[in-house]
Amino acid sequence: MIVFKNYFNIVKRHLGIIIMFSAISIGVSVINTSYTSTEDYVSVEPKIAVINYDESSLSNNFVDYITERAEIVEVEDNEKAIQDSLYLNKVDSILIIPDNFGANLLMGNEPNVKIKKSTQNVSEYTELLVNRYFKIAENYSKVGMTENEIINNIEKDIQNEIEVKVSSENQSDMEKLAVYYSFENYAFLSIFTFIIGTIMCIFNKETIRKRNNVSKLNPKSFSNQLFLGHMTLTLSIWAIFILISVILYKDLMFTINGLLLILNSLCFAITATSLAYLIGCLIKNENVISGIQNVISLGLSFISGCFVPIEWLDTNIINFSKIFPSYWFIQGNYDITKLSTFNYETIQPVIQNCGIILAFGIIYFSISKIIIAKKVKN
Amino acid sequence: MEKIIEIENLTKSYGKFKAIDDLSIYVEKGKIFGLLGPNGSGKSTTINCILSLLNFEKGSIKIFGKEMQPNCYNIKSKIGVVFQDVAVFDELTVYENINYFCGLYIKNKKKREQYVEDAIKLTGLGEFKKFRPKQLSGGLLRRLNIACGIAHKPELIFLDEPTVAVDPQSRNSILEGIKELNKNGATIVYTTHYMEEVEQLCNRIAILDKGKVIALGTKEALKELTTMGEKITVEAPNLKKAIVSELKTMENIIDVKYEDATLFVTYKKGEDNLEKMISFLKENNVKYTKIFSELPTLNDVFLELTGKQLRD
Amino acid sequence: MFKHLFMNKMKILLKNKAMLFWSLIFPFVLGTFFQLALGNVGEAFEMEVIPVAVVDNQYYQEDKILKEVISSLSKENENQLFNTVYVDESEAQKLLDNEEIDGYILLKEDNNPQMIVKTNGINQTIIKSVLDEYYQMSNATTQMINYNPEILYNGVLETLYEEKNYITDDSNENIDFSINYFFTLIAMTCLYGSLIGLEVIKDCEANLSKKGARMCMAPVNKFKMILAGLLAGYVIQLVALALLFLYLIFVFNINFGNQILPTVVLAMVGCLAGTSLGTFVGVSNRKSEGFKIGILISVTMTCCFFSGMMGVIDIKVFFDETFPLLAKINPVNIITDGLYSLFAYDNLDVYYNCLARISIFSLVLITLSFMFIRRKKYDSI
Repeated sequence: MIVFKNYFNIVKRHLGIIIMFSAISIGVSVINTSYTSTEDYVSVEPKIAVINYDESSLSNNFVDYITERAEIVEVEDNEKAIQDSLYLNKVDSILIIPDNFGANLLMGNEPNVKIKKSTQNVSEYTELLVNRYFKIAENYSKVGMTENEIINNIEKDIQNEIEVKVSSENQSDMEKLAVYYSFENYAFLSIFTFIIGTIMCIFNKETIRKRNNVSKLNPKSFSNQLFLGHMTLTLSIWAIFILISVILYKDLMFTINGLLLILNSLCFAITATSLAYLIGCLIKNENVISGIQNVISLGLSFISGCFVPIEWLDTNIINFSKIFPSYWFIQGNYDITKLSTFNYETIQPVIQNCGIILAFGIIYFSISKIIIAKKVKN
Repeated sequence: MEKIIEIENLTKSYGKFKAIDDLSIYVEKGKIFGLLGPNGSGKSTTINCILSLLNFEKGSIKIFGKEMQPNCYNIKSKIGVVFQDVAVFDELTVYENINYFCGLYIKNKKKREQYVEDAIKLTGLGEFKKFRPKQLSGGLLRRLNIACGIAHKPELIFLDEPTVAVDPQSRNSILEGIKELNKNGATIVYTTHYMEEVEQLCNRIAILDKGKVIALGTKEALKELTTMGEKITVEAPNLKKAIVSELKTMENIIDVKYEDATLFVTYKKGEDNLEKMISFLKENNVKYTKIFSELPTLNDVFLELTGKQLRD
Repeated sequence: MFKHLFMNKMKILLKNKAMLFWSLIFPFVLGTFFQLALGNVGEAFEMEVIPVAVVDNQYYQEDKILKEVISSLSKENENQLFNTVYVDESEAQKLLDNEEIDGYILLKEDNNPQMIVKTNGINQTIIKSVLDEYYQMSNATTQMINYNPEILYNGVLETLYEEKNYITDDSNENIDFSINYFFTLIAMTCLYGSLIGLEVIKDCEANLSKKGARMCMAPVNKFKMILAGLLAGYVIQLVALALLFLYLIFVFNINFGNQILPTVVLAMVGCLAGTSLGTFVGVSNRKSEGFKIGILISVTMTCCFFSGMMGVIDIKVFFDETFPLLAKINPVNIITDGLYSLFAYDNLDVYYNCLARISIFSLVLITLSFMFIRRKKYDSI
């Protein structure tokens, strides 16, 4: 096991940068998790700003109505603030009630509320709420009700809401957990490729390789010990990530969902190690490591739903991303956090998913074996 | 003789470590001056101080009679430097590299072309003009390194260990090239830890150890510094101990050693040391297969002055 | 002499594969990834048909209107909203547990309908909203009839169930945070000019490389040498950036606004910031080149992260609000904000602010670098 021991002497030399990289990644993934809104793309409660120029009783009542059904965000009434809040996704849409809106509505002039939204935001639910309120108000006015009567009656109407029972709880925190774990896709690919690439370059230096080749050390045993070294190192980093998640989300991690997430990420850590090992076998030059590291980690993160919601992706891209373990890992995380009943039928797909991730790892490892065998022959 | 370089009382430390300690030397025009010393003795530091690349605490350095400063461009244009490590652009070909560095000195394009060709001829790189540095062997790379440093035909050339890790063939070509440069009028400062090279090339030699000049002069003068006259080696198997002891008592002998069936005898200076040895062996009926005598080398001088070998 | 230095440095840099990768290839690749990831934004939200279940019990059978509403929404046509199955309660619960439906509707004897869902989500919200609409409208009808029974005959009721729109879309065109990814990409490319700066300065300082020592021995003014080298690097970086702009604009139809001159000026100053960053990192310490490259890349990528390049834009908002000072000096963020201001606002106030900040950033680094470069002799090489 001389190679294995020597491996950690080399790791010791580079410990500073390894720790730095891991610390940055962990910090970044914690920040990412805390400040990424976990709601769906169109939020359940849309974030709305209302700018009311009318100030009639009717429009004020409308604002109260919308406040109960949406998350109201304060936005200053100027073009820049409006643009910024939309661009920075602080609001989904902004409603502007023009002057005399209430009076015009009651007179049957069919006035309109203005909406401002960003291109990719769908505000259908908001529009639905708005239209419903004013449709009832207009109809009430048509039958001859006064403004006050309308307001009173609408309040009665809109209390008439269907009762909703939500059977599973903690959902949004669970989803945060999925975000945290999915960020491992970027963190692991980035750290592992960098570390393993650097170490492989040291071991693969022409002179050292030749020296190893002429020694009585079996090349197979050499590469196996090396792989074992990588695995020990990467799984230690993996353990730190898990530890942090346990500290941050104690209650959630000691559930079956939590355990399944750990299992899923273990499979991915192993596969990411194999992938990094394969890359390490292919590169000859230290200078290319950061390039490959960034292309692989950023690329796979973008097309697999780690950075942007998978719903944004084109079906062709999604199909393409299925040939990488990242897709399966991230899907797995979201599927696991959605589970609320645990039986063979619900858990079996999760396990199957883990199998797929590991299968990628085995493929990568086998390819690197073939490459090493060819190198030894030459 | 005109002194091209004059160094007086140069002292330079790296932190607490004194790299050069009160060093004073001069170099005469048209000569090849050798700086000989083991690794870490301060040869490169001395050169870098002369070139005004390094700060130093004490002393003065004059080149061409003037105080050297980093912005003395007219002095710099007369100097060529070949550093210990290869310093060329991997992205440029052999020709482009030489042309580039030469172009920092020679603005006239036609003149430059001629100079570059001359440098290529001198270093024997003609076949490799279009090669990239990565495609060259170690020896050729060294030659390219030299070509880049001397293409502008400087009056004063510094060569810092240009033959380290070079195959014998390239080494000979490099040494020949240096002689030729000298013949064409250039003054040369040459550092090395190979005494053979210094003996072969240099007119004057300074031997450095721990930042101090421990000997300075022509190689003949340096060899005078040693008490040793010659070294006689006898290959004689099965020599009796008594004979070795007897040898030690004889006159004019400094040291006797018997190892691996070979007898090493160090003599003081004397006319007939070898003759006496042969007759001694005859008298004692010693059978030997080979006997020869060597004159002292600079290594012996160094050994005697410092108590250690030039090379580790 | 300047021309000799400039042209040769150009030649040398253009053959440096690592530099070309970071300045040219990497931004192109990343830009392509962005486009792949974001190209579908906006189209992805076509309404899906939502799988629901209705508990088919006696109360449901009695509610004729609800039956009618649900069956019309479940009809297979363009407007189909629900894919409904009619089952008993235990079956519905099982379907929900196995996530085959998004929720189910249960009517009880008090006639108050219930919707049972597993999680909150957009589909659940839609189901609820449709049912709310139905119950609120029927309630409103009752109130109206009570208030004025005549309406049963004068047609007012007929309009109640018609779709009516009280909203006009007054959105400014193209407000789209997905473009932020491309802004950060441009900013990142500017900053990768630092790698070229690093490469250039390395060959000009005697204590950084042997080539540097050799260059220092040439009878050439050091500042002239450095300036020629950096200028060559800067020009290459600008060309790379221009190519990236063209690629994004003409291949991916990314809209950077119409203010071409200010955009070009910002990009030029941005590249200057990158080059001066690299010069400073190169000249200020004697760590290995690999280490410096690693530092520059990680710093750039971290700056990109806090400008919203990875993940969603919330990270940028968080960082801007929590560490406003750092956000104001983060060069990637400054360039990103500057590009955004050109794209979003008509007046240039914010733009000038960004331009000033990135200029100061460059100036500070240039001044600091100058203090190192000014020294003529070294303590050790």
